[in-house]
Amino acid sequence: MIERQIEIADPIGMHARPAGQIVKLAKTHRVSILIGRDAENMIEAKSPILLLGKKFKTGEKLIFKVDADQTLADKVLDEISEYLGN
Amino acid sequence: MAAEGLIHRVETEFNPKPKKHSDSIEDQVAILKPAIEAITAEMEALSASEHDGEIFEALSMLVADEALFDEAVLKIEEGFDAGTSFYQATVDMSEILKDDPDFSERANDMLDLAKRVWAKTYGVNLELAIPEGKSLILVAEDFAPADTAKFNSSVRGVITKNGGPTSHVAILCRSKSIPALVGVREADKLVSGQSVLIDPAGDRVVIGGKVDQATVSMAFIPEFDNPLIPVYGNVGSAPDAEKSASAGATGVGLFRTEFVFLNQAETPSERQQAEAYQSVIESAPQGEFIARTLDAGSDKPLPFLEIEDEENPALGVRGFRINGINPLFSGEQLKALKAAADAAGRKVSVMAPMVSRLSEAKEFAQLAREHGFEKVGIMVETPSIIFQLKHLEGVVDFLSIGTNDLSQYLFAADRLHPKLGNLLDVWQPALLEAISYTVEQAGKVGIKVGICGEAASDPLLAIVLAGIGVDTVSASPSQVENVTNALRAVNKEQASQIAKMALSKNRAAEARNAAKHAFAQR
Repeated sequence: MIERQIEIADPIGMHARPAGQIVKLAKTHRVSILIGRDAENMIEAKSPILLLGKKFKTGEKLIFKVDADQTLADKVLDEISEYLGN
Repeated sequence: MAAEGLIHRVETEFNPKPKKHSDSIEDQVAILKPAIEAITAEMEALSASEHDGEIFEALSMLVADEALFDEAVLKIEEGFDAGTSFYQATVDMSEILKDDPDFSERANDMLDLAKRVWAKTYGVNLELAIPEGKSLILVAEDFAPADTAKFNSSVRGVITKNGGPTSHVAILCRSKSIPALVGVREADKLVSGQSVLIDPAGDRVVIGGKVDQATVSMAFIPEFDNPLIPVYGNVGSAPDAEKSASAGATGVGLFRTEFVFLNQAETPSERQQAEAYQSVIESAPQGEFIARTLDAGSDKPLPFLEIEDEENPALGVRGFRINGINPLFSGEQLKALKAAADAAGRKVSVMAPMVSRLSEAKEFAQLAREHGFEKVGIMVETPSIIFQLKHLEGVVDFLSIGTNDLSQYLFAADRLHPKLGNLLDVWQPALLEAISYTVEQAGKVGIKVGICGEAASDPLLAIVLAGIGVDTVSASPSQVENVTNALRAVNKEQASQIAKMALSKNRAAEARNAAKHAFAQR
């Protein structure tokens, strides 16, 4: 698993659009993406609604883990970063 | 008129009663999946076509959410049907978002999406968004007057579960020449997509029926050049006016001014009113033009009038009674009508609705004359005024009997009540007697009487009315031609005889039959 910490720059936080985009990204690349505030509480990006339910707010630094090789993982993480307003 | 088309059920109120199923879980899931896919596709299409498409992209992802689907399946396993399960699952999962200001809107969005999925599983359409280029027969519990404004050329017929012959759907569809059947208790049995024939003349809907099976109504073959009494049109808009003109109406017996204001949140200014009135006046057939001052409140709510909630709106502050709580409006409206008439270069008469006492008639007449109107009248709708007609000498120039509301108050029967349609039948003897009496009383004081209610749109009854001594009839635009033809098929003596035969009967159906026979044997 490749790990990265990404800050939510979007002033609205992780709202429906980025949540949906991340879930879609996981599906498109057929990878598993885990998200969480800390290592104990990670959730898989499969349901936009459950991600919304986490209420990730602007400014929070979240841990992202991608189950793929370095190249693909970096690509995915770069995109996630963009979705979150970075 | 009859029409063929495909049933298009419209759910005008969202009422998700939880329903259980007796299918297998797989069967219900098989109903749910395509419904979700359909709504997902709708949202994706909107994200491509709409200006702010991004939100729809997000919505498409929410409705297709895996976790949500899993929750819904759990509910199906509990025994609830597909639609109920998805809606309930959404309610549960959106709970967590509700109290957070950043996400609460999404909770509402999710519920809205769930409503759509729910409707899809039942094959029902939630909004009044009527696809173009089709042949549809709309079916609903009821339609509000404002809904009928959205009927486009795809609407070939309308069926509602509620309503009687004088309900708004019936009247408005008639004026748009859309075949309609109201108060159809079995409307629930019709399924979206069914091909049917709607046959109002035969009072029926025939599943799989064709237009050539439609009931043929009585044929009136004109014999004389002109109708026995003038035939005017009832209009609510410039297109109505144009239609009346091309149908051969020789005037407008009722201009419903309130239709200019439906859906307005603020009082239209005098100038806005004048412009709207002018366009109708200019499109109207040459001849008499009678405008009815605002008849709102009650079943035609206008937000800007700020009338408090009433328990019995039909018996409340409506028509000219509004003058008591919003006097500015009457004066303004009269000014606007006069300005419009002057700008159009035509003479316009005015009349007030819902006048129930002599004092109101005098008040209105004075107000109208102060505003420059030469010919002033009142509607006869409340039974009370009928007993005071003898005192109207010199007060008003004409009367117009609004048979729809008159029937309502005469028979104490809600116009919109689905089970009371018979009481509101225009052939009810008591109504004919009331009209007869009105004509007699008005005649004694030299006041002319016209009829503008639905009674005047019934060609055979129009002959009876002429026979009773009514001076003019004003019909819905789609009926002007039929009524004119009927009135060209008789002379004065024949009409009197036909009226006499109708009035000799004590039941509506018998009165109608007697008139039919008398006409056939004239």
